[in-house]
Amino acid sequence: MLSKVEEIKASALEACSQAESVKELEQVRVRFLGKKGELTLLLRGMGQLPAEQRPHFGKLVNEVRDELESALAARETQLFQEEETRRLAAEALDITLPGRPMMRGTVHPVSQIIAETKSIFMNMGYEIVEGPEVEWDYYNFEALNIPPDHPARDMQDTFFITEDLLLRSQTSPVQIHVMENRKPPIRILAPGKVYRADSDITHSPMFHQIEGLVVDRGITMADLKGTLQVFVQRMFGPDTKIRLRPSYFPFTEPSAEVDVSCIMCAGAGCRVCKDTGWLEILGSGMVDPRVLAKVGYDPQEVSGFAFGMGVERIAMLKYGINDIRLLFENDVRFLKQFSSQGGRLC
Amino acid sequence: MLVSYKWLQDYVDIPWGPEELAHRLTMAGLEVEGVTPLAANLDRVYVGFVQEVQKHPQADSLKLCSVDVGAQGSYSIVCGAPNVQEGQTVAVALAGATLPGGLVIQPTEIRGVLSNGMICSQAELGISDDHAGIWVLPNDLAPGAPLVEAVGLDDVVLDVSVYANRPDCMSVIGIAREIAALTGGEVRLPALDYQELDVPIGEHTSVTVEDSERCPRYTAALLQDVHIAESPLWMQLRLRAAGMRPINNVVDITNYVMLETGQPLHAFDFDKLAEGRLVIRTARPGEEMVTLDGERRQLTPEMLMICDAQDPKCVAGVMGGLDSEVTDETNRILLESANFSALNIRRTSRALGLSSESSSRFEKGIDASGTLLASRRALHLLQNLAQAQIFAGHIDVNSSAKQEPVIDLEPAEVERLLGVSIPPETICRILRSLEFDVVELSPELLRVTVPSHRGDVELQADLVEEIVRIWGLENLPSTLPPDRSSSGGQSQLLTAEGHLRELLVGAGLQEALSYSFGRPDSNERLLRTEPPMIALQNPISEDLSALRRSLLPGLLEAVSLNASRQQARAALFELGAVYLGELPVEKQPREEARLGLVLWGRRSTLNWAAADEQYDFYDLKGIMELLLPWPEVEWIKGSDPAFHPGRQVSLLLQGREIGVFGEIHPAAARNFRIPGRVYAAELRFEEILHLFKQTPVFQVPPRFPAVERDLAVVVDADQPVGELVDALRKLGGELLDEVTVFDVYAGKPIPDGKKSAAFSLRFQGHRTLKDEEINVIMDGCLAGLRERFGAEIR
Repeated sequence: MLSKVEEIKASALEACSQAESVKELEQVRVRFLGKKGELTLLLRGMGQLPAEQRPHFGKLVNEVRDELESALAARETQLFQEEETRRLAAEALDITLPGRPMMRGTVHPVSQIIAETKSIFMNMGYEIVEGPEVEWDYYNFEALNIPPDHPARDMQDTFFITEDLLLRSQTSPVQIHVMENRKPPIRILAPGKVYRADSDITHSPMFHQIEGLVVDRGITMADLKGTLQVFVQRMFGPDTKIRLRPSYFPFTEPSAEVDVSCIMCAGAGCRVCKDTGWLEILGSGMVDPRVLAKVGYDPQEVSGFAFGMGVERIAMLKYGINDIRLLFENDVRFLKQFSSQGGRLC
Repeated sequence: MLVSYKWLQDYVDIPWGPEELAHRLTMAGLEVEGVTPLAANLDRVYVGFVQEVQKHPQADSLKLCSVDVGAQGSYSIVCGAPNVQEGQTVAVALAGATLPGGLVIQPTEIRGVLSNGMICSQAELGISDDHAGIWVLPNDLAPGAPLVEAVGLDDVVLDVSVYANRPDCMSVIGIAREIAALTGGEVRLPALDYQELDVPIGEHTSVTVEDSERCPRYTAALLQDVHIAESPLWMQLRLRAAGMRPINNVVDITNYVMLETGQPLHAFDFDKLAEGRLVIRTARPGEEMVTLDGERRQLTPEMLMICDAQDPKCVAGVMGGLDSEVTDETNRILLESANFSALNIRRTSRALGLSSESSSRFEKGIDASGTLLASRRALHLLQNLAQAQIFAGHIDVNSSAKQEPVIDLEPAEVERLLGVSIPPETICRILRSLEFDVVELSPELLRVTVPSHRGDVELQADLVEEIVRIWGLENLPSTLPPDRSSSGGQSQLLTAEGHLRELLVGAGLQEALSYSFGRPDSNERLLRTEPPMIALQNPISEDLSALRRSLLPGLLEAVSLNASRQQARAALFELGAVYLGELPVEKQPREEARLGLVLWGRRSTLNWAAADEQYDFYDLKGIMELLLPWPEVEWIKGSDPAFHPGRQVSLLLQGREIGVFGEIHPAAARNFRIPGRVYAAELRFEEILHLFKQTPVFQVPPRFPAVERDLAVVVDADQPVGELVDALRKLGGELLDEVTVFDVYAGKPIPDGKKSAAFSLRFQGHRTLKDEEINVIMDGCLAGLRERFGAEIR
């Protein structure tokens, strides 16, 4: 029977090495090691041996079985790897085909500029407030030191609904609403739609402004300059410079136009800044004492600054848009160009 | 205002070139928008003298001129101008010159005769658009001199943008004052002297001012034997530099002095005035007159007129009348230098749709104390340039009692507003340089008297502006306000808007922005009969004339535009207000924040990996489910006429409609010229702000295995599946975690009029569930569906 063991071992190892698939290998295992396998049967027939031979024989069969099992395991690993290699080779895809399209949403460029600006000022402790777009003449003009027939009304071609009701031509009336309803300290930012009867490549009958107002004891024009300095550096980059130029607005005194160093050429001079190196982006000034008095503040006690900017102008500068009307056409080919590039969008 | 650099130099020393001056003025609050040379490069263009003019041998319309160009030699030049004559001094372009129009001058044979240059018109030299003939120069110019220097074209024009509060700077002297303040120099006033006749003006004329409110001051002078002629070249060039056209010496002088002093003047032909006297009054009802531009103007009783004894002769401060204008025959002139109420000029100018250099100055408000100075200056020039004889004195009807205001200024106030301390002596120096009178009452108090031409300065803050703009805003330090205000932040509404924007962009939609106003028939286009929209009084077009009551028309317009531009899909949303008010409009309409969205065309861009499918109702419903995950919101069948009657959902919260969505009614889609089906939603999200704020309550994820069972039933084809789902949720009891519809099918082998609906039910408990107990629940579910909906197991 010992020779029979050797015989089975030889043929089992042979069969193991001949197996060409995991399936065949399993058949080999069943044939030799299964319940009715050759080696199993041999072990079961051990009773026929004389008792003194049995330990030796048993040990021998177990050794063969261990040997066979490890050979099967090794062969199985080998076959599995070979099979997987073949399968992977067969599974190669055309990686040049495009992926299943995911539709990319976009935030309107005007909303992006507003969101960025809001975020910058909220981080400086500003509260975002809104006001009505259909506004009384009083808030849009009179309370802002622009009485009827004031020449400054010519600067803004206003849409009227009735003699007294109009579409606000600026976000500045929000200043008045806020000051009428609160006491200083005030630190607000008011983005929103404004309307003027004008339409060409740089004018739209509807556009957006962002208005800022700070009123408290001891607010100075130097505070205005410092605040806007921080804003432009966060908005346009840390190297952006500002320049204040004296100007005229009926509701601020002193007033200043604010230029930033050109965001295209960094001040070297280019087509966008018309070779001046500067871009005019903001109007600003110290709140006129007449305006403070009109809302019941004591101009000797508190002072404040205000500033306002056109959102579309900044969007046009930033993205190089050459016609403001494109912003309101909603052509999907236009809109899809303004996908997120990081930063705060909503 | 356009102003010549050389002209400015007449009144003030300028240590800077034109570009530097422009920068300094801009940084001091007089924005210079452009700096342009008066003339283009005119190298090789000289003064020439026409010695001889002969007929061109080959052409009747051409002449052959012999021109002496001094040191440059003599040239034979062919000239086609009708006005060329012997003895004229002219501008000659010689070979090598390039004229502003790009013409390069070179010896050219013209009809067989060699021409060695060109005698130029003003248009050819780029000085004006006058091309009627050659430019005839004064005979005192030396032949051979370069033209630019000889006639003073070597000048630069500054385009100064004057703010509405600074009418005093709408004059050369006004700008010179600003320059003097910047340099510390002095303004030199022009010559005002002239000889008067012995006869006083009062013997020949009178002025009656009937409306002293509209006319606070009227100053008149009378002249005779005026020689009407062309004004001198230097004056013509300065007028042209300022954008005005030379007419004759009298008109030119009135314009010149207006530009110089800012005070508009008017010259009447005195012999055309009935009874030789003036009455300043408002127009009578029905009166009319023909203005200088030839237009017949209907006058109203609000308009101030300068009249003779009978009729209006001039719209005060706006434009003169045609029948009293100065002509070549004029001998006697009445010269007006007056002050009119800014408001009246503004209203009159608007009412007539007529504005002029004069009205644009008056309507901003002019210093009433300046009338005499301007009149004297004009008389000086009229005597010197038109040989006028001047009657003695002026008629001066003056009811203007404007005091020069006095403001007490504390240097501490300057520091309080600017955030920087400017020494009192610097403050005094700056204010005095601007012609303010300053008395130092104490180191803490300055008494400042405002000059009469600075009507814009009334308060300390106004003085602070004067100080800082001359001191230099660039010197201002940068500081931040002390932080003692609120912590900032934004409203729930704005936060919700941001949230919706994030969700929708994540879902692949593009944000749109439409105009807040649209077509007045927007309701009808949507088949709706809502209250009418609020109309604008002065829209820029019919299409943008009524305030929107819905975001849908704007979004559907956007779809329509994209369809017309060969786009295959659009998935857009918009966040914005609608304007809900009643007519007639008596108060502010309610501005309600809304979200609108539209889906149209392909679900995705065309691609190989999926069938080319169009958006359908359930794409939209999926988005709405993403936006509105709250069980508080009820979804019921809607009845909005803008939508397909069988494909719309009305969204309710506690019985109030908060939105609607579905397929747009095909008739409405046709109204917007949208091909194919279009899906839209509109949500009044102000109503659900409290839901956005809800904080999710954490639940421990179950650790026991779930049991999943499928159930497929056959029901009537028109049975809403949602009702089956609702029923299953109840029938499933507490252990039922989720019901999912995974198949809905009609067709063979399902009988006609029936459909199959298949559900996956997931059971979950905080223990291991037994098959037997689930079997009991499933039996109950089926029995319930059978009883309520006649459902049969498939």
